Amino acid sequence: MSEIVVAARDLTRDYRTGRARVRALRGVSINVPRGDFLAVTGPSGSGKSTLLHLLGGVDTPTSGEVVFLGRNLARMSVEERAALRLNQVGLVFQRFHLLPMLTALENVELPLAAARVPRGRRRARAAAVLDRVALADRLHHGPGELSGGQCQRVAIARALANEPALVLADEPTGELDRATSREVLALFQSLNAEGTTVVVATHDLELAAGAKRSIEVVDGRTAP
Amino acid sequence: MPLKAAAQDCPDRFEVLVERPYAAAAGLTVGSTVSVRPAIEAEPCAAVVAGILEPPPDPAALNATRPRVLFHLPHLQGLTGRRNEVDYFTVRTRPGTDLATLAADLDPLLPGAQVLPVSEVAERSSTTFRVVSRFHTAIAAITLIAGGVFLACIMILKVQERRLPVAAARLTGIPRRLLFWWTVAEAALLSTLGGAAGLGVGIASSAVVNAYYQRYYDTTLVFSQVTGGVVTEALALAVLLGMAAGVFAAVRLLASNPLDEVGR
Amino acid sequence: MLALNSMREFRTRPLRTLLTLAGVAVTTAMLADMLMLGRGITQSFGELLESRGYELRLTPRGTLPFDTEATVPGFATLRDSVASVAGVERVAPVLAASVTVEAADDARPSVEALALGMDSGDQGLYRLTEGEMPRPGEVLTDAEVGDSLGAEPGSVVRLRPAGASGAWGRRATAQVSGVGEFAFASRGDLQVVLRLDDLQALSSQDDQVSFAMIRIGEGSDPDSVRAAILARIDRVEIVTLAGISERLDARLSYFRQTALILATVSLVVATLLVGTLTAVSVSERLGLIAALRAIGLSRRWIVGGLAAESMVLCAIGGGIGVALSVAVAGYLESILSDFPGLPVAVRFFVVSADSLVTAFALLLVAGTAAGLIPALNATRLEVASILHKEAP
Ligand SMILES: Nc1ncnc2c1ncn2[C@@H]1O[C@H](COP(=O)(O)OP(=O)(O)OP(=O)(O)O)[C@@H](O)[C@H]1O
Ligand SMILES: [Mg+2]
Repeated sequence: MSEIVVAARDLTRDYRTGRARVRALRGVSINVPRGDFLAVTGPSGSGKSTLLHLLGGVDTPTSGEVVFLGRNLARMSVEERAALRLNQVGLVFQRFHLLPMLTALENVELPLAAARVPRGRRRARAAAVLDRVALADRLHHGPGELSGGQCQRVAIARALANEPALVLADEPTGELDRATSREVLALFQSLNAEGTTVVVATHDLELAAGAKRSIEVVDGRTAP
Repeated sequence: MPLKAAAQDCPDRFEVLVERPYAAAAGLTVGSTVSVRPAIEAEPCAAVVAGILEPPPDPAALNATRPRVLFHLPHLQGLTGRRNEVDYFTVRTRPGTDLATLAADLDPLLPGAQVLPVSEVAERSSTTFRVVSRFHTAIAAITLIAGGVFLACIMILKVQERRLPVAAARLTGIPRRLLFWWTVAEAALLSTLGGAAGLGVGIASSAVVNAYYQRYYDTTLVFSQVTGGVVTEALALAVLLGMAAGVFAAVRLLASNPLDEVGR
Repeated sequence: MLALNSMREFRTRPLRTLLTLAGVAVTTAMLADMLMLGRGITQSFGELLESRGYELRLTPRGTLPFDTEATVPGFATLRDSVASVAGVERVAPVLAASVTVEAADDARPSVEALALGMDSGDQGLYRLTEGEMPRPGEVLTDAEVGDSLGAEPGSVVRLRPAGASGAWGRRATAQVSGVGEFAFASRGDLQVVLRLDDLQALSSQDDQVSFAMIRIGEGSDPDSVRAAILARIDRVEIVTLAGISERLDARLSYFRQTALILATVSLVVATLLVGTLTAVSVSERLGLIAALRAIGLSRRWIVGGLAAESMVLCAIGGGIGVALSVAVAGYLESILSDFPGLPVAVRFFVVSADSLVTAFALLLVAGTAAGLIPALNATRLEVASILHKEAP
């Protein structure tokens, strides 16, 4: 296959909670090539979110390494990784995490502003992305005035704003009903068809089935 | 050089009393000889320090720039050439005398002088302290406003935090009245505890204030006193303020429909 | 944009925002007032003195002008030796004595007034508002004496020394020459002005003065002229303006100390208030903050946005507080203006841009810092952990 966006080798991740130690990942290796649409499935608590966080450099592995577009994340500082995420990774959360008092347009502008895109270009770009997620008529509505599915589309637009190499979505349909979930899947599929690389962690079998390929994580390991 | 004519004969056995702080500063002890003159240009008389005087704790004398020295009245009259003159004298009255009437009766007998009950003299000389005390009251009022606003802020935050559990409690059937009093009691307790802690700080700082100013002015006057009245007043205010904030919070907390809160 | 979000959030929680603003405003007002109180006394008295051009005061040892009834005798000789000191331009003696003033027709009750005996009107102890300076045999009164006695320029009044120590026989009649306003009068004090000779005669204080004001030549240094005078005459005190201010300051040190303590307390309260509120609003938004960190916003960006929130609160609250402080200062001044023994022109609270700006700036810095700490702490937490905890 073509260029590898992110490659993970032998990832383990331990969490400490009080005295106890939880091993959330026990040696996971995966490659995500450009243009991939990968679904990560598995039971609750199996380590899907942890894997996504490690792939995006949000979290650091206890052992193993993540290479993102040829760069070893372990060699980067916290702020360097933040800058990398800002420009190369689009994150989508189950709970959207939109700024409640900003409009859809302003929410999408946020990562562009943080990346110091000048105001005019920022506006135009945010409007274009919102148009792409079919919210052109909702630019000036706040999250409070949008449905769950619309909010998640705003969040996806925000993830796409800086034209990332990889979109990581953690349970993007977890708070949505079946019909809206399908819309989100269709959106991911069409974005993927246009070349966006997508990794989704999900319980939603329909969403997983819609991806190009899927892996199952069980108890911190990839199931065969 | 023109001198004042009087004051040339020095009194026999001329003795004076000197205040302790001044005596200490000037190195005087009982038996020291000092020279006394009625005016800068006059001939000095030698006087013996017959005793050292602990200055009475007189608030009006706090800012006095000059030390006080006590003379026998005839000595001072002779020295200053003001024989048979006094600045004031005190009159002891029989118990039960009406002071106002007596003062009015005495007044015409003493042209050029005024007759005042001691209480009024004290009143006049304590203007400073009355002014300062009014100033303190004003400051206390402002502080109280600030404290009240602070408390209200904290209660609003608590309300925000409690919305859900309280709504849930209401849905499980716990009566509104119980929740209301619970909230009020909590606020009152909070502000009483805060008030008590503040009183502790107050008592400590009052001790510091006294120690400092007693040293500063070299006096035994008590400047700040945390009396039972002050304690009661402060605590009562804290409890009242707390209850007011609690009622305010409880009303807000219980005004909404619990279904709205839980359903969110 | 975070700040924009915060601003809009203020509107969705009007009560919380208003209470915070009120808290910040009250504490800022207190802070500003205490700064004014701390500086006001010295400043206003300094202004009062300095506006007059006489840089030195000659007083009996250990006293300040208007302090006691002590006088300097043998002044005629003294004056000559002072005047001959290099740098001394003018010596203006003043005798202060209590007098009783009565209307010539005895139609109204007499009044007690502080009489100033002096020969020229340029010491700035009073300002002429009507008529003329008194010539020998004349008296100038303040408006209150005039009103009480029904006397106006041209009327005749009778004067005698006040109090039991006065000689009963001595009386003088004088024509009212004019009306003046007295800068150093204490509240409620009535004042009149006579020629020095006239007052000395009236109060049997020949050749005595209470104090003298000394004007020094341009370019002379008050301290060195003072030293030169003292080298020649050691039985008096020579006080510079700075010295007077200092002593007054020492006398009113209680207020400065109180002001300092209360200013500190207000600053601490404001800091606690803003700190608590920011801490709460940060903890409410912990999930959002973690998500923004995950998206890749830099710490500085997020902290800046959160700090802007407390800064705006402090700026608005502080602005209101500064305005409020002027009103509160007026109120407190009205209480303290009854303080006995101080010239009316001395003000405890001098509203100065300086104090207001300092109070505002102090509060802004303290409040912003108080907001900064929870913001910094929030962004220092591990992003993945917060996301894990916030996940349903
Ligand atoms: N920050 C953390 N601190 C402690 N334990 C954690 C932390 N993050 C994850 N874990 C633990 O690690 C394990 C894997 O968690 P993770 O969130 O990756 O699972 P998941 O597959 O995403 O589950 P879900 O489907 O419920 O989202 C779980 O046992 C979880 O409790
Ligand atoms: Mg998960």
